[in-house]
Amino acid sequence: MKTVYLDNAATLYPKSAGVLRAMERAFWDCGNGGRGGHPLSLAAVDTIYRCREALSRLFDCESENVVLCSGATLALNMAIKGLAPRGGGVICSTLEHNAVLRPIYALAAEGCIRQGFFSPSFESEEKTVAAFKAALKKGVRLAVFTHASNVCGMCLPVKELCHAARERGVLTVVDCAQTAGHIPLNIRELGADVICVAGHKGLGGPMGTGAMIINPEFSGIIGTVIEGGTGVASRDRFMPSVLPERLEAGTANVMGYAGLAAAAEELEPDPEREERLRVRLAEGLKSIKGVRVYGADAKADYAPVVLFNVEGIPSDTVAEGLAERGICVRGGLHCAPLAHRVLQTGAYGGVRASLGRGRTEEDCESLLLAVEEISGGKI
Amino acid sequence: MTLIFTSVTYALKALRLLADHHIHTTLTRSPAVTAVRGCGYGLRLADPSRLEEAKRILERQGVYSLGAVKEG
Repeated sequence: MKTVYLDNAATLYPKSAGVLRAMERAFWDCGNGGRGGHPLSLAAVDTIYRCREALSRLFDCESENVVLCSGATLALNMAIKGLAPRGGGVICSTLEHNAVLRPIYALAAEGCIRQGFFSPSFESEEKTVAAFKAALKKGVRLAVFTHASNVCGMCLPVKELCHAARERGVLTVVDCAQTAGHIPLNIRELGADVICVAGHKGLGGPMGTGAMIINPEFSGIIGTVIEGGTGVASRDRFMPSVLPERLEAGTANVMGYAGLAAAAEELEPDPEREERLRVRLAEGLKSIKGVRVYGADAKADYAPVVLFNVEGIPSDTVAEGLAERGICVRGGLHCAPLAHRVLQTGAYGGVRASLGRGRTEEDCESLLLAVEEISGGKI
Repeated sequence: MTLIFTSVTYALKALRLLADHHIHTTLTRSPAVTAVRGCGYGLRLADPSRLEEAKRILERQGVYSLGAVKEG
């Protein structure tokens, strides 16, 4: 049975051979980066720096603005907890992933912050900006929001939101886990203070990699969440103030970063093509009797994600039926319970099909055919 | 002659910038920094006579060294 992989929002598959080769080279050639002066350690230092350079070119920042880490979840935790104002307000959107929601809930439960929400509009970006501005009440110091929903793919007007926040002196953290590698991102143009990216999704790197990208214009201090060895200034009792070392305690995932560097260097985003396929999928699904598609028609940009349900069948059962046909999608709540509430998907969440590099019209047609069978009773 | 930096990232950034200006350096674990702050990295200049030129190039790009030391 042919495998049709449509779960790229979870992780891109397959990764390229170039990524594997780079990881294998690092496996044989590298010691612990930034910890010694011998050739194997220096080879690791160079490998890690190459990853910083590749990401800095991609997001238009300096190499020292690239904080490498294990993924978007850690990047978001570090950004939110490192910037959260003691006793101040932190707002986020109702489309957020738990990687944003849970750090905020945890800080609020500890009494460190006051939390608030704003609801993005599916009708117009102007309404989203208005809702955001209304939520920026006195005392709000940090705004965290997704670039694109990992559930339905809709992008928020991040440039406008960051601009509105900056006008009010509010810091911004943008979750770009679903857009990095799919949509060209320039942190200076976006105007965000920090963006957080996953290495293994649209960027095509290995799992266990990600980054926090700090705007070169940001001049504040980000508090540390993890303290430990940095290979520099070891006599100091506290983490160094210099970035990125301040936020990178512990041994670096040199093989992962070698792979991520290779992925970033070979990356050629094609948002138009992915959007064509997304629209084909959404329209095709809508035309099937008993299938409902969620949040796909806003006048907005989209990450290549489509969410749907087949009437009367729990999403995980539909996903299972598709898996039996070789089609890989994901059912359930996608770690974003508020987004599902907003989209009114019901108790069982929805089925998410997500595109990525290498996916074709044929893949979309395979999914549509299979969903038609399932909705017709052939589960 | 070795230029000392606050972090290995800045040392690598400096190495690339200087290489663009044909100033050859090698990354080194610097005993001078270790003695004072406990661990650090530096760039050893192949041609010590180009030290001032190297500093100027780096400062123009906003990369500041902690200083330069003569290492055996």
